[in-house]
Amino acid sequence: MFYNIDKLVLVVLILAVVVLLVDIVLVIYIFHRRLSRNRFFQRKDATRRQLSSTVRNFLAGDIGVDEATEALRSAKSPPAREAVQDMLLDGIGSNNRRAVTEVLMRLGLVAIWAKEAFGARRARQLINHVANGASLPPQGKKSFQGIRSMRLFCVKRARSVALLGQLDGDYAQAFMDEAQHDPSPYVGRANVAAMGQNRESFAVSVLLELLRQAAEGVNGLSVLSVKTALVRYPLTELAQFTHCLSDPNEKFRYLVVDSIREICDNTNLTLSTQDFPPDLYRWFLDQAKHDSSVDVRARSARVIRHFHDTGAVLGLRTLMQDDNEFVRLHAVRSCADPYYTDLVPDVVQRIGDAKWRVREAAVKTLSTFGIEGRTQLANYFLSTPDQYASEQIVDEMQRGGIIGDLLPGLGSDGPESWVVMKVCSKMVRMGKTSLLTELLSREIRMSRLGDAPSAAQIAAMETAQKARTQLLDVLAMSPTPQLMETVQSLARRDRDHLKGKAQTILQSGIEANKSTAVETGGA
Amino acid sequence: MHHFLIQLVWYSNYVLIAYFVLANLGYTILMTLSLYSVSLHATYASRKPYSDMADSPVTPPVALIIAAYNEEETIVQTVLSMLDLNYQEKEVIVVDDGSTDSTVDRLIERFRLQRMDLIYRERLQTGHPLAYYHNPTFPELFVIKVEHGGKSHALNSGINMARSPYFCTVDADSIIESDALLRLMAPVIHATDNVVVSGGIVRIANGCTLRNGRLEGMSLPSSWLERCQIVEYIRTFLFGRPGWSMLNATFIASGCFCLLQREAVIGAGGFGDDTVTEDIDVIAAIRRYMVSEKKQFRVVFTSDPICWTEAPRTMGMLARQRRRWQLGMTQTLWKNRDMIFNPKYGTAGMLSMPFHLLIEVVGCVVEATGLLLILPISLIVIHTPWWIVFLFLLLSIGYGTLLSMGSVVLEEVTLRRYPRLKHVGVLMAYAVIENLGYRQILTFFRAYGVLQSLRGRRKQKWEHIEHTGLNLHQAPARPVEASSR
Repeated sequence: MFYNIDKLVLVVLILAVVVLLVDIVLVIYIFHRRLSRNRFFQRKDATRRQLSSTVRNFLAGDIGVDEATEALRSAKSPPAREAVQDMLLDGIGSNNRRAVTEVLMRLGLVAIWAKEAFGARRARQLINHVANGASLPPQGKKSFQGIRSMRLFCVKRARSVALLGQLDGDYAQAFMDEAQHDPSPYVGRANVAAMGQNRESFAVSVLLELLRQAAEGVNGLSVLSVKTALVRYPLTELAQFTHCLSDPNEKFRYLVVDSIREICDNTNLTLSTQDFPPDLYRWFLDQAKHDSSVDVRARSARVIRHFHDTGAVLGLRTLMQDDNEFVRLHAVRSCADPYYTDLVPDVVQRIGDAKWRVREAAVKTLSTFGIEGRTQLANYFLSTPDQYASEQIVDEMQRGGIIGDLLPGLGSDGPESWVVMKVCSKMVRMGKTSLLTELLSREIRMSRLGDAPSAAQIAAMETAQKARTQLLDVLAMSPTPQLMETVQSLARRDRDHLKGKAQTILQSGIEANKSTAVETGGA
Repeated sequence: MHHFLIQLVWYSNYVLIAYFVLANLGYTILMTLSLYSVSLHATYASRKPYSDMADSPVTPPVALIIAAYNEEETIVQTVLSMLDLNYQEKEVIVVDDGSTDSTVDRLIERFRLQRMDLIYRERLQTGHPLAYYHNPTFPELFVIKVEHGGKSHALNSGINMARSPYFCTVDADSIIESDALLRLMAPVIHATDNVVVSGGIVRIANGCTLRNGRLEGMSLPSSWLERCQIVEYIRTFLFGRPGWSMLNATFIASGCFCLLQREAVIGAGGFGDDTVTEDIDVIAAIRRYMVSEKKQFRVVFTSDPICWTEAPRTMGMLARQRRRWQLGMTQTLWKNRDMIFNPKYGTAGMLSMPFHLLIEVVGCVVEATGLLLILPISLIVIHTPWWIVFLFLLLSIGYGTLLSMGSVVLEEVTLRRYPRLKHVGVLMAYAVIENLGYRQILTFFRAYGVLQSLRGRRKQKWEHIEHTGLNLHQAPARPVEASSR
């Protein structure tokens, strides 16, 4: 049936032998690789041990560039060179970037990276340009652009570009500019990431242009990649963003505004109008609220909040009234700052917003205003007939731990007790009793105060006990299975001051059940 | 009659040889693509490309959804590992699917959770949860208890509870490496396409040491069954899925550790309960939804985010697991049969789904029939020379060994999770051993799964793995020095 069984057998036999041989080669390769890697890292570690103190002293500024270069020149083998490279780049910072760059140049590492990234001839021209100030000839037309953009051939280039991007700005700029002409998006991405890490002023305008192209989908880079780099820049670079705010491309405008917001948020400082370029400040206060893009208006609110002046108060108030829910949402979130207490009534108004996201943001914002915010929240909760708003408030009060903070007030003698009682009662009426019941089940014992408690401790303990008693009274208005389980547990605890009360509730429950049974039987 | 039988066996032999050639050709192409993709990715990723994402506000928030059913032994470790992840903005949502053990109690005790009545917005139809637990001092963690309804139901409840634009499904007995979520998110940030699914690698943790939610001591288990599975997982995840991902044809992303875009999943109707493998089903559903909405999208697989999970220790457990996986794949392919060879669905419809149907589903039945029926008949009835059969088997086993050995090489070149040379030696030995029986046994389990699918719909059930393969330590963790190797 087979055409030629002998030939087939021969083919199968050859294939089987080839497969087995390849298997053997793979085994040898794995062992060889493992052993050679071990040797490589042993040498690298040895270099680290040998030169780490020199590098540490150099990075700290204790020894100069000449001395460091001389000492590090002994690292010639690939593992030793990699160890030096890693140590220097791991310790690079704004204070020593120039010196580290000088050393890397003198050690020839920059030349190696440049050669890997741009080819030998162009690398020589670039090095000559950055080191000696020689003019840089225009880049010739590169052939095989399609092949060069393939991932197979660009990983090494991308890694080298990333390394070159860590050099001092005067050096890095030439390499970064050069890398922009690379056809591979991987190299482009590495270049963008390097710009973000380097934070050199010259790169902001480049990144903004790349962001525009990414928004238009023409440069093979993702919007998020470019934005990740852009938001690493400091506030002092914001002046370069101003002209982009009037760009006709809505998406680009939104990305620019959002990047400004991220930069402001990243500062972790309380900013003021002085921190912003005047033109940018005026644009946000005068024009942002009229922008045709919803996203621009929404994100503008998050920038305006950093102004901390009356203009910002008015701006946020206007944006809180916007027709679009996302603008209102961001405006409300932006008010979560102690400076904007004047806006609390406006935020309270938004608790009744038709959209749940805005309601949620309003409640969260109010809860950040300390006692005033919580009082407003409680008052609104008690007065509103709006079920959705009430649910939102209860949700936030539970998630944020506000209920736990409020409850001790139940045992005080002041008006606070009345408010907390009302809040708890409304929660019980709404059926939101789980947390209250859980808090009720936590036993408070005088014995835990120790042998000689202070008067203040005793008073606090008595207040807490009173609060629990009140809480049980409130919860008993509408007993749930969870509550009855807790009451049964309380009734069994000998040292709990609620034991008697719990037993009474259980007894009345049993009698109520009996009378219901009698009535039902009679009927 | 005898003549007819001989003819039948000869033709069956042709079918077997055609299957053998086709399958191995497919695997070879996938292997080549994977080798290219994985090794390049590893080279690129070796110089900390994720450091700028870690603290960036641009990195999108993620909800980690852990669906759990009777996981009291591992749930605390899993949650600790999630809370410890190097990721700026995340929610950890544990959905207890009506466990009958103390899964929830363990969480309440460890994280001092309080029962609450929270808002639940039901975007996917699930019914309201029975209870919500939260502790404001662990603001990222939420636990919800739902009525027992299966994994899909639990995951959908988690999606309803989540707020983040992306969510990551994680099994309750899995441990994620510290940077894994960041690595899983990298394609979402860097791709110019809309990435709706990003899958990562699942590895077997049996034999490893776990301390406070972190894997510390990497080692191999002692039993041959677990070791074979380790080699098998490496082969599947390093030598198959990266290849499909390169072709934008990913059909399977393990639900054990997978990042999904929330709106895309909601649009696709959430996780369905009409197949036993909701993770395979949801990918097809997302593809269908995105194509119907005419939206650009991409489903990617990344080869370095690693999730560690426990594998079955006994043959019975393994049989149940593989039968279920095969059944699920068959059900999904049948459910989405209109997508197969449909150019509308791109490479997934034209390559990946037909490959899974012909090679993974039909193939295992062909292979099982060959081993069980054709081979003995060929030898006994039509007296095919034994040495021809032997050579054919040798080639088959040799090629299988080549694939397994290649994947061990790829693991050694890229991830290198096993520090000792002895471990690598053992893995290489098992790359040979697993082809001498283990793979054949799996073929029978899988074929049984396919046959089960012919008997109609099966209800989704939780897969239960006995958790004894990990060395658990609850003692305070000591900082581990990152190895540069």
